[in-house]
Amino acid sequence: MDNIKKSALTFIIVSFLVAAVVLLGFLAVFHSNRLDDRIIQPGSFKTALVFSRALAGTLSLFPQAVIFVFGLSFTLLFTLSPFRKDTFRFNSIAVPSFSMLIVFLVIITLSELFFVPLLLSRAERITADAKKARSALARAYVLFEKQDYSGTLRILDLYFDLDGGDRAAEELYKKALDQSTGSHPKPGAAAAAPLVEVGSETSGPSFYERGRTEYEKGNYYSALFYLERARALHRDNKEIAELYERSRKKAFGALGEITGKEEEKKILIERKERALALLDEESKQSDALYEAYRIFSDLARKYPQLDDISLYLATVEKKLLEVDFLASELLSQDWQPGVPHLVFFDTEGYVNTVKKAVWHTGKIYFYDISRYHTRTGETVHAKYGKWIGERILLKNKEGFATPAPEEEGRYTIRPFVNPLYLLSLNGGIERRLTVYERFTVSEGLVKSGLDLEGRFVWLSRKVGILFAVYTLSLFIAGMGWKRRSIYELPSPLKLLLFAASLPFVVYLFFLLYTGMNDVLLYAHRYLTRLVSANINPLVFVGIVNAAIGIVSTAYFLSQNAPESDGDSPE
Amino acid sequence: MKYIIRTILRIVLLMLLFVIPIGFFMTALVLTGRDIPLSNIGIRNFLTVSKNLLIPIVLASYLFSTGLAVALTDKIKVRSVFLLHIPPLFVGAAIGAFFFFSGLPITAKSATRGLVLGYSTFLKPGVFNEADGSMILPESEEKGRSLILIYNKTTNALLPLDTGPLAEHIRADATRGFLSISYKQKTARYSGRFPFGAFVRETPLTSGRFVRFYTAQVRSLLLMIRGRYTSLAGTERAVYGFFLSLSVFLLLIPLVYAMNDRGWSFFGIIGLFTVLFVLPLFYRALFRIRDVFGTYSFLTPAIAAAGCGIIIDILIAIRERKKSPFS
Repeated sequence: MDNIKKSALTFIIVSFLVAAVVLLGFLAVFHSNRLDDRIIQPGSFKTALVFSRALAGTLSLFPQAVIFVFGLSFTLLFTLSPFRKDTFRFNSIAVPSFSMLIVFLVIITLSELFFVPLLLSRAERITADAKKARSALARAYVLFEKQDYSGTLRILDLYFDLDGGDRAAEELYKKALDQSTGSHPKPGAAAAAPLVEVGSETSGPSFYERGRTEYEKGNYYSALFYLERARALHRDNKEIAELYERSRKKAFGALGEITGKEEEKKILIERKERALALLDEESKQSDALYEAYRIFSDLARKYPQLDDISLYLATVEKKLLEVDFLASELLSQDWQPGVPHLVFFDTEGYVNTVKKAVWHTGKIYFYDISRYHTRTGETVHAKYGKWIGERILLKNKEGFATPAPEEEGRYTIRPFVNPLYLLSLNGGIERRLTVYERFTVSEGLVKSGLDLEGRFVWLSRKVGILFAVYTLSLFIAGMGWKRRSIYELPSPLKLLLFAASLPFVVYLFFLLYTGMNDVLLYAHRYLTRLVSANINPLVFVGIVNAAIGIVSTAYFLSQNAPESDGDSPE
Repeated sequence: MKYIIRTILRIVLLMLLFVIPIGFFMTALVLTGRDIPLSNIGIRNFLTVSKNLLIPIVLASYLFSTGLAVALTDKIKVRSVFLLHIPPLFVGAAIGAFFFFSGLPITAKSATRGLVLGYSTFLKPGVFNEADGSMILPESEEKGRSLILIYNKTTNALLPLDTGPLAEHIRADATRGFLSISYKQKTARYSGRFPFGAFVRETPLTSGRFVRFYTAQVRSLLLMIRGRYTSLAGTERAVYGFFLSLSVFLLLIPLVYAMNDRGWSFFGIIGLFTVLFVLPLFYRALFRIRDVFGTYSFLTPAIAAAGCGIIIDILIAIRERKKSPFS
């Protein structure tokens, strides 16, 4: 590559980088001044948020920056000393500059389709985390005042997960730790403590020995009572299993009356066996789990001293939490700011309103939900909701309870999209969808009630942006080249005015071109009415823009004519 | 003479070339300035507003074309900068005479006359349209029945209104600038008013700071001009309009000519846009200066602008005389 081509490429690339850096700096200062420090605390969030927004803004202005660089290059930069040579002709720089234009177009395409939406999504997430951290710290102070030190420490653990360091929060943590009576799990290791202690046989005779003693005495139900627990602790022990079976046969084959206490134990064992059967691995019906829960919770209430019942209750609760939830889980997160005032359609024809939705550690909670069926007029109200599996489960009371079959549909919301998208409905989600999401999720969002333009209309606008860059860059470059003089430069004042005005004029031209593209999209409606309903807007807009692009390419290449090389205009 | 005729033809050709895009742009700006969204305005309404704005559109096109013709002119062929004012004056006189006798309205106040707006201009069916803390969803169903859902974000309350045709319950008042929803049945009642601005969605025309700043300046200037115009009576109005228009050209032409760099005529085009941007700001400043000239104090801004233009003309003439013909 000869020196002129290298110089041309260098000038264009350096100009573009300088323009990008200047834009980034300006937008960083702009967004930093706009941020409300009362909402975005602490400082680390602000830096990340400002950077994300500034970078997204810079990428959004890349189209105008490219047109500006081309305008500046072909008027001013290509008259500077590296280009003041007899061998310098338009075709020396036409190919490198055209190649760079294609590279810029690829960058702009990737920015519009991916980078900008991802950066805006990141900014949204940072804002949500900052609000959550602010609420967590405020909540921690409230709990500390109420002398709920373990609660304070739990909330501050969450705060430290969101933001690494804050002196005030660390001091509060130390104070709460000093005040709390028990030990507190280390930050970050907040695994849920088991609901019950597993029974141990370290004190007194073991369950097996007690069971054998009762068997030898002929008290078979009492023997079963102890042997069942021994079997639960030592599942592989054949001796226990054998004695258990013998006791069982004896107990259920026994004739004659049994004592009241024996009767009670018989009922307990029978109920427990039934519940254990329901809890069995083979039994995967959720109704069975609810029945097992009902039995175990009833037994746990009657026999609180029986640790194994509590253990089984914890086991069934854990399984139920995979398909259901407890209201206490939501109440513990009610302090979070969340996303207020959601309204959306679901697949069953209901309009759902949600007072607040909270996203927390991968779970989504809904508070104060109302449903209205648009055809039947039926209404449903629920205090709590949680996203489990592929639906939002609703309930009004604490505890696990399987709803009646006729009620199940009313207390289950099946949205068109994942609720994470529903949480973004109020906040300009249309700018945060990547091209992939436009094609996979946008239909569901529109059905949910979001005002979102069709994917081909959206793509047509992006095509308009790309062709605006292509056409305007070539046209302005060609015009600037044709009307420049290498024999003299304008006065410094004029040059300064030119450099200062060019960005705004370029912005205006870009606005006018994309406005023209919008007019094309509007005209497409009439085209479908008058000509054919099957005309895709993307094809229509693409054809018109391509025709304009061909004209601008021809104009640009026509500057290659000898008389246009460095001569005075007209 | 040849040069004058050629320049007149150039101005007229440029006017014909740019009148449609300028008309589109101005109509869009006026509608957006009145908070009427363009997404579903309808071509008939758009053309109605364009028709109402015919004189301003033609004047803007004339102004732009004159500036562009001066920006692109070859300075070698211009014998005197004072002669450069003649072709635009001819064209302007012809346009002025045409409109004077046509009787068409010239103020933007009547731009929305004849506009027919409905709920569909502001509300997209089947989706929640955000407006002033509420979300409104109109849905036309079968057999002439419709459903309007109004969700109040503050109270989290959803109000379903089962209605007949939507047009009976949702009305747009273009004059007062609001959309009203009214519903009265035994089961429910609702009455709400939403200003048009509540429905505006972000577009480059509405959200671009640069465009908003410029249109605000132009709007403010037009209000100042109209304010002074309405305070006058009879022939004073005609004198005021004439001298103000003349002052624009007396100032615009030498400014753009000064920007027109013989070696860098591309800068002339850029300079034209710079001048057009600065002009409203300059005139706003002129309208704020103290009125002089006694009985003709209403002419102060026009005379000040014309005076600046004449001074620039004189400076250019002196400079061109000093410099060599090829500079």
